[in-house]
Amino acid sequence: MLSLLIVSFLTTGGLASAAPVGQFEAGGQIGVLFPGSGLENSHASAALFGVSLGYETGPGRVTLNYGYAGLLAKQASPYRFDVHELSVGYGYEFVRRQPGAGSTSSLGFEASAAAGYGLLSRTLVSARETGKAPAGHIGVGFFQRQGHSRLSLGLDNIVFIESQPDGSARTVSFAYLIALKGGVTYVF
Amino acid sequence: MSSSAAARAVLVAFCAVGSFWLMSAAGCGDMTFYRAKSDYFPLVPGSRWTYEAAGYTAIDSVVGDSSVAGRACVVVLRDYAPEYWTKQLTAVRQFVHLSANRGGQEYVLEERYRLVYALPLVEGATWDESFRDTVVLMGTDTVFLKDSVSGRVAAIEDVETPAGTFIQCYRVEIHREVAAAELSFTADYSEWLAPGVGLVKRRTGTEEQVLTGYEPGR
Repeated sequence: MLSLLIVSFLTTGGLASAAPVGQFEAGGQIGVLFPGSGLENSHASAALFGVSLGYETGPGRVTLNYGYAGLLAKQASPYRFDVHELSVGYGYEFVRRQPGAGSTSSLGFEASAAAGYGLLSRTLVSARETGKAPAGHIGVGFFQRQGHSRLSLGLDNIVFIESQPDGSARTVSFAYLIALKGGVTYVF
Repeated sequence: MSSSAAARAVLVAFCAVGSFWLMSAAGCGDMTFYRAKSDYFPLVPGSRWTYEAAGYTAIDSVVGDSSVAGRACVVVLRDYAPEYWTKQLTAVRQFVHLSANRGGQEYVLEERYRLVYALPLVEGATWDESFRDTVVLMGTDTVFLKDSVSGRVAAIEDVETPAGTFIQCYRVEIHREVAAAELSFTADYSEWLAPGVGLVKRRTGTEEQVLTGYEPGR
């Protein structure tokens, strides 16, 4: 994942061939998180909330993101699975278009990748388990810029990776979640 | 700061955070998702568990679906005796049939699906259920019935058995008390449930039953 991020960072130009002046940005996202890889059998989808800080130069953006979602049980039950995640990501805007001559807005698509770390907790009434797990993100989305604002809508594929020695072998477990999220960002 | 210096700084920060993530990934979490998505009581037809307890071998197997007391259930042969189980998202229940014999006639004292485990299993979770009834036998003999169970998810442990090492097992402590004339008994036992396998160890007092073989069903 790290290699993927760095390779994409360098080969796509990223900051190295970016516009002469970088810009900071701050924003937030809301969306829906859908559980997968077996989690969907017992967990329902949940609202997703996030905030992000970023630095962009040209088509590349590096972002620091925080996201939260609370997955609930599918049946009426006081069970809850909370996922807090901090991630660092890189996004690359491509197919950038200006709708008309003289227009100050632009739109296009963005591909992104991120590495994150999740703080997890499962609660059932007063019982609580906590844990942590690293995660990788691959996303694609649509964006529109106008003035200082940047609107986005996209899909983010999230894989949490867990592993533990299991006798002479090792058990590796992947938890796949997919997020549909929209965001608004202010570019300073 | 020039744009190239800023770019370098961001790249360095990015690599530093990535390295931290990579080091964290080596430890790779607490298996919280793994527990959340695992089935700790699989009732898949064809599954077969072999246990060893004090020199005695017991075999449990899931033989298929049925309907008992108007409810769909799964038939489990526990040491060749049929048991009827149901599993929903919030509970695992077992059909219980208690009867007393008076004057050559059988009287049903209790017939229902009793709670065995409340789901999902989360460390520290507790549950209890109590069933009470009064049954009159032969017109004069009154039996006060009480069947109660309480359970607690005591710990998450790795368990080594002759069948292998099972990680992320829930240790469940159960207390069951049945008060029903000559059928009365009290039982305290601990069970270790492994993800994707089910019961891998049971301890009752000093007696221990451990899994020696497991064949998953299809």
